[in-house]
This record gives sequence, structure tokens and C-alpha cells, in this order.
Amino acid sequence: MMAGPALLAALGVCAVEGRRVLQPQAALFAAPFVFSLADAIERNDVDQAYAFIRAGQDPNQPIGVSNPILTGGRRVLISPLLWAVATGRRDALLMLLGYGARWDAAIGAEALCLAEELGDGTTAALLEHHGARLDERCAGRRRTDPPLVSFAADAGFLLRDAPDQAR
Amino acid sequence: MAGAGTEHTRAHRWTTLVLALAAPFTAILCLTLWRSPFPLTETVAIFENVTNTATNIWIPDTSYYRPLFYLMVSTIWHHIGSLDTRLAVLKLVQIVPVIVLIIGFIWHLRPKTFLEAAAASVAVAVVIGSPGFRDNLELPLSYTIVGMPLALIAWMLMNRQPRAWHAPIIVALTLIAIGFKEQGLVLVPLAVVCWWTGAPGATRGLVATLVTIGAAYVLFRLQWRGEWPIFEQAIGLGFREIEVPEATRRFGDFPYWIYAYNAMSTISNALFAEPGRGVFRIVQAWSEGRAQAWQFAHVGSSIGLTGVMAWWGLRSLRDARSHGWSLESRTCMATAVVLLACGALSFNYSRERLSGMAVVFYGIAAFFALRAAAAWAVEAPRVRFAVTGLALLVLSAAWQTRALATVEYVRATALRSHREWLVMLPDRRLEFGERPAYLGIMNAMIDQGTEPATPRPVRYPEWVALTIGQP
Repeated sequence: MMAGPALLAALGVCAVEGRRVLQPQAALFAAPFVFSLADAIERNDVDQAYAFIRAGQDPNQPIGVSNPILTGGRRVLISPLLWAVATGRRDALLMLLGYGARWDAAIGAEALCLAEELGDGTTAALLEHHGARLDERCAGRRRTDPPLVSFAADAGFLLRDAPDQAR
Repeated sequence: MAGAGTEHTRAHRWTTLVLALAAPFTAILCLTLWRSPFPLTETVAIFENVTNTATNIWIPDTSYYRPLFYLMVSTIWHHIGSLDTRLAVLKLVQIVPVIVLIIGFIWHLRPKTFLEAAAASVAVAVVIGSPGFRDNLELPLSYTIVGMPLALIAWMLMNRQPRAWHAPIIVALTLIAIGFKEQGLVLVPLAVVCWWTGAPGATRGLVATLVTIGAAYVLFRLQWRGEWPIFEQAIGLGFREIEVPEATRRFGDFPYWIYAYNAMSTISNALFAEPGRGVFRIVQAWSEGRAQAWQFAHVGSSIGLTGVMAWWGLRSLRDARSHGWSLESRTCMATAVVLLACGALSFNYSRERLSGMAVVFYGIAAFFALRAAAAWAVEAPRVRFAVTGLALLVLSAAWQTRALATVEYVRATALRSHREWLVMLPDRRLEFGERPAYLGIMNAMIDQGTEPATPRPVRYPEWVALTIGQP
């Protein structure tokens, strides 16, 4: 009777590993597929977010994002870093900082301003830890609802008015 | 002659069967370790240490004294050209002891019947599923996993008829184990027990040499006692963990009671799976009604097996009194003494990994105990046979899930290390900005840390994950 579980466990392990070899993308082994860097950041899936960067996507290139609260359902172009701040995905934010996202006083101030506007003290503290400081532009910024729209507009990114129902 | 040959062939057959059953777990563990990235935390600092020529690895001026480990890492670091090869060799230092331990363990048990093979297959799961084994698989911290097969080999040699080369080998194994970590000291009381119980290879000269080495080592370490903090790491107490400053404030004047608690926690964890790190997390979860299946499996399987071992231990000690010491009764004594030694060596803080050296003997004792229980059941009346058989089946199944949990734990550790490389770089660049050697090593290791093919835990259905305790 003692040998039964040992035999079953050995066979079970072999079966699972055999399936991994034959179907590495099966749900048992692979995380749910994400379609874009924006999706990966929003889901805080750092692995897949990094996979996009590793595959050659520029971490400073604006990405199309949409969110009922943050963008009012509009599709907005924004930098991956600001998207990570907006969604409060600090692991993704740190990954971007570690792997090529541009980081200077202006970007830091803008990111910190967004975190403050969203009331995300933890992300704001993280940004300050990495040297971000608020500047006068943030103090003079007109708060908008949804919040990301004005940031995208200030950055001069393309803004489409049509809500993106696909998301 | 023909009878002996037949028995030999039969032993080979059952040993091969147990090896075959252990092979999937062992192979997956080793392959996972081979494909795992080195973690950012600890590893880079260790490599930076060995590049610092001002560090004298032989002087124990801190609580952590692992001169042979650092000598090994330093030798690999300075004498192997490419970073990839250095890292590969360091992984082998972690992997080879696992293979030697599992194969050596089965070779030592050498089952000769189906019943023994069944007991041996559970004993292998006990070793792989023990927290003391699992917690010592973290790259590149090979301190104790190197010592575990050395303890097994020393034990095997002491239980054989002495040869001229046995004693020097056992002394060398002890020195290496101690040089990797102070947990190697358990080989000294082990040798004393072997000598006391009449193990043929534990000669008086060998034991005297080992006791002298052990005493000299302790005296040497105590020369720097004044520089050690009262508490080196956070300690667990009851249902919570206490950080060093609070522990020092509360227990610093007379720390010996809390030292005893730490020692007992390590021993209790090896025997009953609770407390972990000194904290009764499973008991707390149970009392709050949020215990999961794996927690019952861990505590239940440990209590069950330790209970069977206590029954067998008392029986074998009683036999020793009437018939003299045997391998079984010696194993019982060795397990108890090594456990006590592991506990004593973990007086400063309790961690699962600190019982690693005892896992070897707990596993051997499990084999003898389960074999005795199964043999007793086979000769029992039908009802007792059924009840005992069912209990052994449940016990075996629970330990198999724990062995599976170890595999998943190693995968989860690999993924955690991978994530460290993804998210910790900005903080490290800030924190270690003044240490160019650290940053240089860290930057050179980014590729291995971010390799997409990092092992990942299987995404089992929730009920399976809850049963095996997937991290």
C-alpha cells in the first residue's frame, strides 16, 4: 500500500512534464496571453511586460491605453512609464526604469504629479525615492476627469475621442 | 553461493525499482536548479566579497563563518574565465550533492524485498519533502546541501568494517562539512554515538580526532564571541516574528530561554512541521479557521511518521538492551543526537534549513520505522492489517505530496529570482552606487537573471495547489 502513492506520484510527475514538453503553451504551464505591453502593465504581469521590451519594443515609445476610469474609455497614447504609474503597477514601473525607460527631472516630475493626482502615496514615495520632484507645472496643472487625458494632451500625444469598445 | 547470488540480484532489482521511482523527482529538481537564475539578493554580494582581496575568509569575526564555501566560490571565480562557466560550476556544486544524497541514500537502504522497497520509496519522499532539504536548495547557498551527503557517507563508512582509508576520509568529510557551515559539527556527536553503540568503523582514534577537531573549532570561534550580536536575525516566538532590535530589547539581558526556544523550534519543525521559523503559523491558521489542506498534510504526515518512528525507536532500543546494538537501534540514537545537535546549533534563530543535516538520519529512521510497521501489519489479524495498511497508505500519499511541493518550491524560487532581476535593478543601482565592483558583477549577471526560459511553477487547478501547498 505504501508503494502505490510513490508509483502514482512518479507517473504523475512524468505525465505533467511530458505534457510540458509537448504543449509548453498549455494553460498548465503558460500565463494567460497578453496582447500588448499596455495589457501586461495593467495586469502587473512583469514577465510578459519585460518580454515585449526584450523583443525590441522601445520602453519610451507611447502605447495605446484605455480604461473606464483613467481615460474615460477613450483610447489615449501615453508612455509605458506613466501607464504603470496610473495603474499603480509598481513592479512594472521598476522594470521599466531598470530596462531603458528614460528618466530625467521632467519625466520624474510628470510621473510624480500623476501619482499625487491619483492619490497613490505609495507610488509617489517610490518615485521620490528615485529622485522625482514636483515642479511648478504640476502646481499649475488643471485637474481633469478622467486624469490621464490631460497628461496625454500635455505630452502632445495623439488623442482619439472615440471610446474603444474593444477593450 | 547460489543463494547469496540470488539474494544479491533481488536486492539489485528492488534497489533499481526505488531508484526508478525517485528518478523523476530527482531529475526535475536538478534540471530546475540547472535552469534557475541566481538571485540578485545575496549572490552578487557573495561574488563581490570574493573579489575583495581585503577580506580574510579564515578569520571568524562575524557570526557567519563559511571559509571553505568562500574558498570554493573564490577559486571558481578567479580560475574560470567566463562568467557563464563560473555560474554553471556553482550550480553543479548545488546539484551534485542532491544527486549523491538521493542515490547514496537509496544505496544505503538497499531494499531486498518488496516491502522494503515500498518503505524505501516513502523514505526518499521523506528526504525530498522535508523542510530541511527543501530550504537548502537555494542557489548559490550550498553550505548545508554539501554537508548532507558528506554526513551520509561518513555514517555509511562508520557502519562498515574499518579500512585504513576510512578514518582519514571521515575526518576529511567532517572538515569539509564544518568548513562549509558550522552545521557540519553534527558529525562529531554522530561519530561519538557510532562509537558508543559499537559501529565497526567508529574507532576510538577516529572519534578522539573528531572530538578534538570539534572542540578546537568551537574554541577558535569563541575567540570572536564578543563581536557577535545577541540576535543575528529575526526570531519567531509563538504566533509572530520579532525583529532584531525588539528581540535584543526584550531578551538581551538573559537570552538563554529564547535560545532554548529557537533550538526546540528547529527540532520540533523537523519532527512535527511546526513551528516554522519559530512561528506556529499552521496552528494559528487552524485556530482562525483558515487552515489549508497542505497544512494538515504537512503537520499530519510529520506527526504520523514521528509517531511511527517513536514506536519503532522504543522497540529497537529495547532490543538493543537485550541483544546488543544493531544498525536499527544505532540509527535511532543517531537521529536523536543529530537532531539535538541541529537544534543546539540553531540557538540564535530557528530556520527550516538548519535541520538539514538531520534530514538524512530522519529519512533512514523513517525507512526502518515504516518497514517495521508494515511487517507488523502483515502479520496482524485482518482488521488491524486493514487499518494499519490504510494509515500507511495515507502517510505515504501525504509525503509524496510534500515531495511534489519541494519541486514546486524550487520552481517558485527560480521565478522569484527571475522577478528580482526584473524589478530590483533601479533600487540596487541607487543603493550600491558607490560600489563599482558590485554594480559591475550585477550588470554582468543581468542576462542570466532575465533569461525567459526560467522555470515556473505548474499552474495546477486550485484544489491541487491547495493540497500540495504550492508557493
